[in-house]
Amino acid sequence: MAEYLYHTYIYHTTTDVIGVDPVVEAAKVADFDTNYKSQCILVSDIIPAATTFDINLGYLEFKAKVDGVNILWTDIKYANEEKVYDLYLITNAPI
Amino acid sequence: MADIPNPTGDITIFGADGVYPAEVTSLNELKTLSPQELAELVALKNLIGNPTSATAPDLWQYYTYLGQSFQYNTTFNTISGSSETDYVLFRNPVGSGKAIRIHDLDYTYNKGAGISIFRVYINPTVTSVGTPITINKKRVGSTVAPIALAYLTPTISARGINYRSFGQSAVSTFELECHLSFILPAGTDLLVTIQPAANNTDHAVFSDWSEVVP
Repeated sequence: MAEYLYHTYIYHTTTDVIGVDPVVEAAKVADFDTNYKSQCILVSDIIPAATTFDINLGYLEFKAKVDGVNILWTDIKYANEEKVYDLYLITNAPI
Repeated sequence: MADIPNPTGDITIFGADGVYPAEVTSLNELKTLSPQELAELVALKNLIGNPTSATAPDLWQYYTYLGQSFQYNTTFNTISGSSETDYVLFRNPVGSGKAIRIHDLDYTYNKGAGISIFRVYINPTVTSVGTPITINKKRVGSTVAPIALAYLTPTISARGINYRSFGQSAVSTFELECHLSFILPAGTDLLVTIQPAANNTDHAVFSDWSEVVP
């Protein structure tokens, strides 16, 4: 059965990172740290299966998927990588 | 061999061919040097001594010995997106009085999958040069100052002539070997761009070159 992997990432460290606005990124991280991180499930990594559709989103688009009714922040997995938080939402159908 | 008439003076002894000198071995025996041995001794002498353009193993080593060779290294930087990113601007300033002869230009990225694209452009239109990158001397401690300038993440309005493009897989290094034959005269800019295979991958570019009177 196919799965849909919705993915976004935000930089908690912007040193030596090209292509991001540190101020904008810091605001996203502060939002995630303050409001959502404690509800999410910390994982080491996500390895997509062969039948996984990988969908990359911006942070605000990703947040919009978490509507608080069908999708909760407790459904969200995140990995704390060297420079980024990777946020993942896995569903059985596209949303 | 005849007796030596004056054993306290300097004497040159030749082998049977009358051309190549003989040597005294550790066993106090005379040994004639073969042409191959003689050539090896000369090569060894040149390695130990200061090389000249005639005796250096190659021009790169000669320029390096003279202190005219330099390098930069961007270290690893994370590129957020996956679109072509203006990464390094390398400049031979107007009026430098030197030609830059590039020995090699290298690219590496250290994680992720897929093929990233590494491109080299000549004479882009530069809006802002970016953050200066330190130029290091290949001969450490040399008093010769570099004339080349290098910058990270310049702002470019037009990329110029696409000199080369390469695809490179992750966790490996690509080396564009030029052997000093990629020559940038004064007033020439070179732009290196990277198009990552995926988001959040780390990339580094480094290069070696010599600066010579054109």
